[in-house]
Amino acid sequence: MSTSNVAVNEAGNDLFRKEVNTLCLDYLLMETIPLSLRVTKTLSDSSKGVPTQGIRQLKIDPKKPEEEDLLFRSGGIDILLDDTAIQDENSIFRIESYGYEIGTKLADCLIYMKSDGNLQISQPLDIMKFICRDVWKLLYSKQMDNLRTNHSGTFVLIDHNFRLISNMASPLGDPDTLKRASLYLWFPCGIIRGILFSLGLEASVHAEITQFPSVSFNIQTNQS
Amino acid sequence: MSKSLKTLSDDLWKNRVEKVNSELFTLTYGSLVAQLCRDLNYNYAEVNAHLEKMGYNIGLRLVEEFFAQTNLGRCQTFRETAEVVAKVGFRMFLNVVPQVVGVDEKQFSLVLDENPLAEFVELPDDGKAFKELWYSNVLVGVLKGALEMVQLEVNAFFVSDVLRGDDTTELKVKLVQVLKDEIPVGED
Repeated sequence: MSTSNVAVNEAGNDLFRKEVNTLCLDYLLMETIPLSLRVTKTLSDSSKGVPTQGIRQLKIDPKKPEEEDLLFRSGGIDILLDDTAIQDENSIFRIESYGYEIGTKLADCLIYMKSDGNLQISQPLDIMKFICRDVWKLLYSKQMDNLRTNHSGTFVLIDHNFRLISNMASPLGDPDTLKRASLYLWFPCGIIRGILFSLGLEASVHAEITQFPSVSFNIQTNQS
Repeated sequence: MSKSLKTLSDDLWKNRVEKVNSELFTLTYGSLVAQLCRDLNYNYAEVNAHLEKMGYNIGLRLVEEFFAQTNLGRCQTFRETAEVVAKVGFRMFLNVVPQVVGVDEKQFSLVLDENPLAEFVELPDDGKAFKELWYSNVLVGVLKGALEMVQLEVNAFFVSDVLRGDDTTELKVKLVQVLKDEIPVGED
């Protein structure tokens, strides 16, 4: 996003003038998923009385790296290989809620940023367009490819090459890639739900991989 | 040396790097930390550990981009590493250049005058966060991860943070050992 199309607000402060590398945001968003799996694991461990990482560091004789559990091994993607962790409803819920949290805040920031007078968001369809264009552009460097609606509260947003998962491949073949990639989809679902909520629309959002890496997001709003 | 590093990173930042608003990045990181604090029940030692772990994974990958873009050779000394981390690494990813202080062959400190992660941030006033939470701890992980990929095992930690009321934000990096190139099993 270049500075030229960013509305500089009248107060003359330097909001929205600074920039960082897109990769920082990319990797941050991507790491959210392993992070939430680790958090879920930590929480379930601590409820079972297993010493947590913070406490473990205090020990005089820390375990050797190879003995350490999946949780904190270097590289850190090992946790994604843990089938129980990725199918755990708690993890799914947590990933979704991280997305939701970020979504609600992003909506405020984006709208303030775009508020140059001709941004009108009142109808659900406008909100969907806002997500397809502005939000997606920001988070995944491209717009949604397709937006469909039945005009009674259901919307389908399609991204033919979803950036979060497009580079994924499992050594165990496509079915396995699909299985693990679908976990990541809960995150953008949360973001969409958060944005809709902060614009006054309650909805439930589901995503499915139609043909890898094409993803369709089904949004069911409670308005008709 | 330092002159050419500056030209190099100026050029990188201007022409080779895709950019995004830093406010949106700050916001995303902020809501992540906030959520993490809530989820882990304000156990800040735990929050620090999770942030660091996340940073480690990010660092492992950022270094790839660093290589792809910079074409810089191997650093001869740890001193040089410090310069490159500050002037090229930080510059190309966060567009800030921390000051390098207290540098010798075993350690250096990065003083962040500007910290894109922590802009507009206030720590919660619960009597604990000011003492225990290192808000930008993800950077610690990033440095560890990235330097490990260039065979430098380091220990990194924050020693002060303006968010806690300190005068500066200082991140200390200590060299533990230079790792040897290892050939993977079965590939001799």
